[in-house]
Amino acid sequence: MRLSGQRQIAPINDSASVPAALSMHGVSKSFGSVRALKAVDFAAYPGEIRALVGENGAGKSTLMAVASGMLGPDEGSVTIGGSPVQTDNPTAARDHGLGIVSQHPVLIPDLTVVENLALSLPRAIRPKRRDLPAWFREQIRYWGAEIDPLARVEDVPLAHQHLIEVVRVLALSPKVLILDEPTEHMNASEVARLFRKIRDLAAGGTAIVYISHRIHEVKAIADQVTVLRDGEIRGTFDAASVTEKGIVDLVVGRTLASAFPPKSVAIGRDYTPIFKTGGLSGKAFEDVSLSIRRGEIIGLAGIEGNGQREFLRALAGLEASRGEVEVAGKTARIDTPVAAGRARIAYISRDRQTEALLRPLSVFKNIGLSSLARNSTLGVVSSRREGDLVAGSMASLGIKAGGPEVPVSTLSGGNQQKVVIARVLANEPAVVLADEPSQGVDAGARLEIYQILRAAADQGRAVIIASADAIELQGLCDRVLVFSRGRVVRDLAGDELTEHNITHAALTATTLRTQASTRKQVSSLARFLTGDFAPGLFLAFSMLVLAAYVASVNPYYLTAGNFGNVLTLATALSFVVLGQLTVMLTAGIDLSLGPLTGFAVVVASFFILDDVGPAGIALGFFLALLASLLVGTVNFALIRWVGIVPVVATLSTFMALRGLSLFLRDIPGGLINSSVTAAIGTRIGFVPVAFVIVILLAIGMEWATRRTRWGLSLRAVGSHMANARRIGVPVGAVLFSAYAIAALFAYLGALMLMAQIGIGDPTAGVDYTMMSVTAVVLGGASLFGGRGSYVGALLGALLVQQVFNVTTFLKLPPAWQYLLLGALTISAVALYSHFRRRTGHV
Amino acid sequence: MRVRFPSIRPDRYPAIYAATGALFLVSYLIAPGSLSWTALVSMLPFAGVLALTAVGQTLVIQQRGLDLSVPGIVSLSALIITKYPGLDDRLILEAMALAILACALAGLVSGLCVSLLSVTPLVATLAVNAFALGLVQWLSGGIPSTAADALSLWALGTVAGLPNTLLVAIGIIAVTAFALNRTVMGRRFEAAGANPVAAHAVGIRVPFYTIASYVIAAILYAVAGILLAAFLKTPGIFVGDTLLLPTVAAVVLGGTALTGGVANIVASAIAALFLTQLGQIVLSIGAPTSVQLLIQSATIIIGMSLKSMAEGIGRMRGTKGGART
Repeated sequence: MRLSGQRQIAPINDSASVPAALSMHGVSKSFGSVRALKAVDFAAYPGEIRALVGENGAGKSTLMAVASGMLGPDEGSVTIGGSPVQTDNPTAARDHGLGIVSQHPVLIPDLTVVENLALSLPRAIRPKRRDLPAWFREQIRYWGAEIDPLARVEDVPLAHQHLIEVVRVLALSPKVLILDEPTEHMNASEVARLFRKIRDLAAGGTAIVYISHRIHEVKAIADQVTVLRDGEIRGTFDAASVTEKGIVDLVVGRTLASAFPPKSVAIGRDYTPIFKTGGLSGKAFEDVSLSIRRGEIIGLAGIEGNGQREFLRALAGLEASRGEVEVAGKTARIDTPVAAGRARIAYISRDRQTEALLRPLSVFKNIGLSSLARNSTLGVVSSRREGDLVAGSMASLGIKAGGPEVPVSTLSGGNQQKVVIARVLANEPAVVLADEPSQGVDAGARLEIYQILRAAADQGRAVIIASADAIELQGLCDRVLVFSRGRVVRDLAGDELTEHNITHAALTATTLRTQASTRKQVSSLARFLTGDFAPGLFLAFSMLVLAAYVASVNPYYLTAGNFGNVLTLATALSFVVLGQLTVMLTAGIDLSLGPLTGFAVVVASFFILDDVGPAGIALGFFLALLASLLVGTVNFALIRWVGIVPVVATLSTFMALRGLSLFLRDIPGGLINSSVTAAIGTRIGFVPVAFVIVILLAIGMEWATRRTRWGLSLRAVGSHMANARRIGVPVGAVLFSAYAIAALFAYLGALMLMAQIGIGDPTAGVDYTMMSVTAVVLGGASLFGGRGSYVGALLGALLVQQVFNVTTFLKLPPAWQYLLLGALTISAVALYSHFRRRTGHV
Repeated sequence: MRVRFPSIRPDRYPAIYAATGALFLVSYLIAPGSLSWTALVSMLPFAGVLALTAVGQTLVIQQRGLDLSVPGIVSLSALIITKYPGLDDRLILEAMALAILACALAGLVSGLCVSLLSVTPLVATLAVNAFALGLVQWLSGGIPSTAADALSLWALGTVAGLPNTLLVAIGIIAVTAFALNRTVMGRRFEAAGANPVAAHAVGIRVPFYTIASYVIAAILYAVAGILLAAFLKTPGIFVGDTLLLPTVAAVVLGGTALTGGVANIVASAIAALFLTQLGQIVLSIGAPTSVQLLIQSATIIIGMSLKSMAEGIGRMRGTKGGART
């Protein structure tokens, strides 16, 4: 395509006066069959604001992910500040002075704002922990936002997470600053502040790379514009000398006329609408009435977050709404997707990977899904009918796949989208709703998708499309409704329907958009209830109530002797529980801890005998410790290196340990040295010394997971492993430490067990696995990682032991131990998750 | 273009079938005794029981869950079928119905906890397991009961030389596989497990299928418990205890992803046969229980390693991942 009136400028490096702050040479990267980058050369210079523009899938973010070390290139090199940088290493890039504000904030959801900063800022620039909240407040003030530094990032609205990310990256004073779609979630005043900041930084000599698909923003901020299309650089231009249309043409790489199918001529003048809504309102939109005739394609436009997407989702039954809906003259219910489906409304999600595709299943099963009932007799699917349907739609939609049996995940974006559309059309809907139908689809497939949608409309359907791309709406739609603050502010059709008018209507109508006002402040009570310590209180309270009740029934319950016994038994369990929690904080689980305690006792039972000297006893302790650590290492290796999920990996070591114990001692044997058991069982009053030790250890671990770098890393790995890696947490080392520490705690538990049973019993300790999981869960830890309290877990262990103990005092059959524990666990977990869910989506 | 219907033919999941074939070859070489008719007839019912439980576990794992209540539910079923009739042959059918009902109820509790209370599957089924074991202990008073004569006689019976118990297991597994692959509900079940969010958007009632997976699994465990009781005549009160780990092993070896998604029912059943025969070989060469456990553990590790190696190779060939912006 020819661009008139625009001068392609030579990159500045020809002037050679300033060395590039960031330069990339010959960078290539493929994802499966898709070549995202093809030998790209790119450079950014100090003091320059360089915009990087391109369509979705053009390779912008991939290129910057390579620059920042988040992604390793297949080929090519990266130089930052003049020195070559090891690729695929985010920490190296950061240390060389590269800062990136990603499209998705690289934050750890389960950590607080302050903890995130403490973990991700390099030591040299990190304020002291106790000064961090004040420091953060100071930094965030510039943005005019109020964010509680002690709030969990998960509870912070997405727009504010972006601000935290910006603050974090700016604190690094980077020599190269990459901003990837930074304004996506910002309001106008925040955008203005950001632009001021960017100009200041550039004036101070920082090289800025600004990625955006908002051309007017690019025009406003950038000095140079580099265009990327289909993984290749298509040129760099002086921002002042290129028009918006010029940039768009370059980005799209085609002229508008040929990019869309001809509009419908079939729409008659008099018609009965096939689809109508009357005064439809929902959480994000209000009083939307529209009427669509057969064969019409309607577009929904508007700046992100003005209700157009929610409206579309509400029509699909995916969001609550009230108002009237009519399909083909009949009133339809759309309160659930099932109801919407019955009303012959079908939805194509914007988020293809998570909300549309069944990734592991075949193309065949993906296409056939919505028309199963249509192709079946008495609930049994007819292979002939379904086969014909799938073959037919694969042929007519031009789906390129290795065959109907290949997993849909192996297809390219465009073909995946065609699969989704084929599924929707197979059920012959009256209304097709498509949210960003061409997102992540290459240019060629895009036209085909437009043609498919147009053909679907021509067959007498109503098609509604939500799109952020005004050009797409102009080219494809017969009519476009522009949304602003939840209402339709313009209805564009005919000659009025132009990209300019759409954008104009959307922009001018939103100038009054205010600060995110819907944000609810999490109350301090709610925060406590969802916090790590509430479960502990709940447990302590339950224990007191239980103790009071049992004491009222049986006077022998409240005796020092009984308490001493319970505490002794609880100590062994508590050690194991501390280990289990350590692993669970990393989103893992260690089922082998139970048999490991037994195994360690069996190993010790060959050495710590009555007739051995101190050296032999020491050897016994040492070898049992060594064996435990070895098991921890094996667990780590299976999980990290072999790639087995923790449940299965530790289940197999569970079995192996039981086998090994039985192998070493097929029957109990090896009486443990009595003075050793006596020493371990030492009590002060009725309180075992070991119990005091386990309490101190729990408190120590509690402190360590909140205040030390290791502890934050541990929780970060469990909360969001990918982001933890990106901010430079050594994931492997952290996981190793977790499994090793768990084994160490199991060893301490084994010493207690050894003192209790006094003999090498191959079957001892196995129950600790399930008991420890129960106790940790009672203590409020999340099995998804990142959350939990050692003190809570310790209380959980005490409660478990107490329940075992009280059943005898209440003269209940032993079965009640299990019944009580089961009921307690379920109700505790249901309660915790209820609270977290309620406040989780504020 | 003519499209072939997705089949349940074994050749789609070759690894475990090949391994099972190889195992029987090895059996022939090192322990031919384990392939004698009498040995096979005593091994196959156990394989059938393990296969039933493994299929149940497969269904739950396919729905992104994990079922740790296998021991409790199998033990409960075995206790009811032996204790309720009290040696009275006329009450056997009643007892069967009661056992299946009780177990289905236990499964329903797990399912409701997981899908409506958002309790993690691990915790929900752990609690239900504790509950069921407690119930078993309470009802039995710690004393095992003996199956009524008609039931144990039936278990010894054969049709065309094959043990009745095995035939029942095969029949149920075949019906389950057919239902999953060929019926509307089965295909929706699969979709709900493969991607619950997408399934919901398509108009599939995901919670229904999640709950169904636990209930159907519990019914399969109940049948396994009945068969086990019939075969053993006087099963120990915690007879299900040894079944949990092998079911998980069978699912893993059968190729069902532990992250949910694709369920290979027949492959899980064949993996159960593999594990049972492996145990037989180990026994026949005179190895103690300890070695059995070690070998089971090694089987899982090797199976998983091969799988992740295969996936690694697949990744290198570039069959995974999509376009990124």
